[in-house]
Amino acid sequence: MKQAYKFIAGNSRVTPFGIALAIALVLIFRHSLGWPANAIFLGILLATLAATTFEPVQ
Amino acid sequence: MNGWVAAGTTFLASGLEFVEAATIVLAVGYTAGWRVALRGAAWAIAVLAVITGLLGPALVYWVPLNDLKIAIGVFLTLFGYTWLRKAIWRYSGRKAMRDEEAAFNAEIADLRKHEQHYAFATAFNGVLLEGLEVAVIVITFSAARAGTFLWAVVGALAACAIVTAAAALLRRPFSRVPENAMGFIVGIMLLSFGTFWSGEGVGLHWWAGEGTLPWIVGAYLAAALLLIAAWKRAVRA
Repeated sequence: MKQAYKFIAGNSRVTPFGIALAIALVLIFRHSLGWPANAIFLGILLATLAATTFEPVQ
Repeated sequence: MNGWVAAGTTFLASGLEFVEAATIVLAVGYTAGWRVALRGAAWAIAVLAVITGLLGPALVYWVPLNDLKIAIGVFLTLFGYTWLRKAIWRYSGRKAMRDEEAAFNAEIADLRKHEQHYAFATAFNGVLLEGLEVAVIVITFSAARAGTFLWAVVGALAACAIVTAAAALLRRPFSRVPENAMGFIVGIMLLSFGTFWSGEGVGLHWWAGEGTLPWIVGAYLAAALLLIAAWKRAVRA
């Protein structure tokens, strides 16, 4: 299990959470937001990239 | 999606993984003999071929396209984060640059401590684990867009052929391959495709359809360069 998690997510605790948050927000708000949902989705994933660089170096 | 982009991305990603696998096989060959090294590599390639041949068509035929796009997008995004984060750490000085010569020497030192059967397991595991990532990338690229399977496979096979031929000719680790730069580019491409497909899967209508992809690539490239600069400053301070 640990090996599979390392293989898929590189042991990151931040990236699965960031992806899940981006997908959940888009699923909830895509109809009411229209095209800004694109920016929110990409923005959360970009923020996740920044956040994951703060994790311990492996 | 342009077939050349799929082929180029799988070529770079596969090239990097094959270089790492070749380093392990070369180390096993020098310490335990070429027969056991090539036997381990051949078994791993056979297992990988079965996985790719079974999993690829099964995914395409049995999983609904939108669910497939979300799953594929999430996989590629996670892979992309791992590759790009490592590249950012390396370029900012937080992690040592990948050095195939050092990896080769460490592998040889480890092999000398163990029995002969350990050599087979090392060659087999090395090729299987490095190749598994290639298999996942090829399968996901082909499953997300019809018509990209051949391009993705051609990219991976071309990388395999070049690395294998170079390893057979040189018989030493590839210290001159720009692995760190390749890892940076692959990280950006995987992350961009992952973002695009997972977005489509959850029902997003991208601004310019497939024309949005270069903008996503540009956004990740700019973010990565900014992060490298910021971390470089933090490391120096």
